[in-house]
Amino acid sequence: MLDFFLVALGGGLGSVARFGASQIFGASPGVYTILGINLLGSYIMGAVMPWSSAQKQRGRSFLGVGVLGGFTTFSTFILEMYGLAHGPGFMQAFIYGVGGLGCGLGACWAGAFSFSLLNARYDRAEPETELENEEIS
Amino acid sequence: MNYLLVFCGGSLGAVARYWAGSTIQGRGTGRFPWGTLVVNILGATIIGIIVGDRRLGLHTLLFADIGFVGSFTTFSSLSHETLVLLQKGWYGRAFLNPLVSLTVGFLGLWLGMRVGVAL
Repeated sequence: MLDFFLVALGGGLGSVARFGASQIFGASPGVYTILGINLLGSYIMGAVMPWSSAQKQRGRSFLGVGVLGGFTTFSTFILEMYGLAHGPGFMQAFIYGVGGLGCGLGACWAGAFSFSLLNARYDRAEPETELENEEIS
Repeated sequence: MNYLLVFCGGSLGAVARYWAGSTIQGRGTGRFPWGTLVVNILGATIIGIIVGDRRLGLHTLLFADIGFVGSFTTFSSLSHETLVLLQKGWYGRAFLNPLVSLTVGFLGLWLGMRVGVAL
């Protein structure tokens, strides 16, 4: 039950952040705010998933499923692809779709890589703090 | 007011995704991320219906389109699950997951638009 609440809260916050970003940077054709949001979200997802699985399931529910799930979107991504296919041409839509998914995968990998770098550094610097954290959780 | 509508729609969308995604995922073998795939394709179809139906007002669009369906579908999980498939060495599945999402999602949107226009 708490999980559902955390997902709802996170999803609401993530959606508001996405809406806010598209208000600030614009969402008209030719402005790739949604693509930027999706790539940023994938990057953070890559960094957060190994962290949250090492910590509590609740962190995963709130951040991964809630905030990042609400922040990033697939439906508008496809809608923009459809708009490209209708306007500039099918090739542009294809490049946007395949390129977007490919970059999303790359961003997620970069996020996971950042996490592993940070983790290795953290392990070396303060091994005791790491132990304390595990005891608390 | 606009932000509140997006927040409410987004909360409901995320819970719907969490529930539907884990229910669908629980029925499979766990070797393919069916949950996210089905949710994303379904969401793309619904957004097609919403956008195709031009009678909807701004507030409905903010709640249903940007809020609910925007949050119901997800891009970050798709990226992450594809990365996990790659890391497990399941290259075929890792290739199929984004490919099917993209093509069937696109078809779903197109179909949804036809339905939305006809409504």
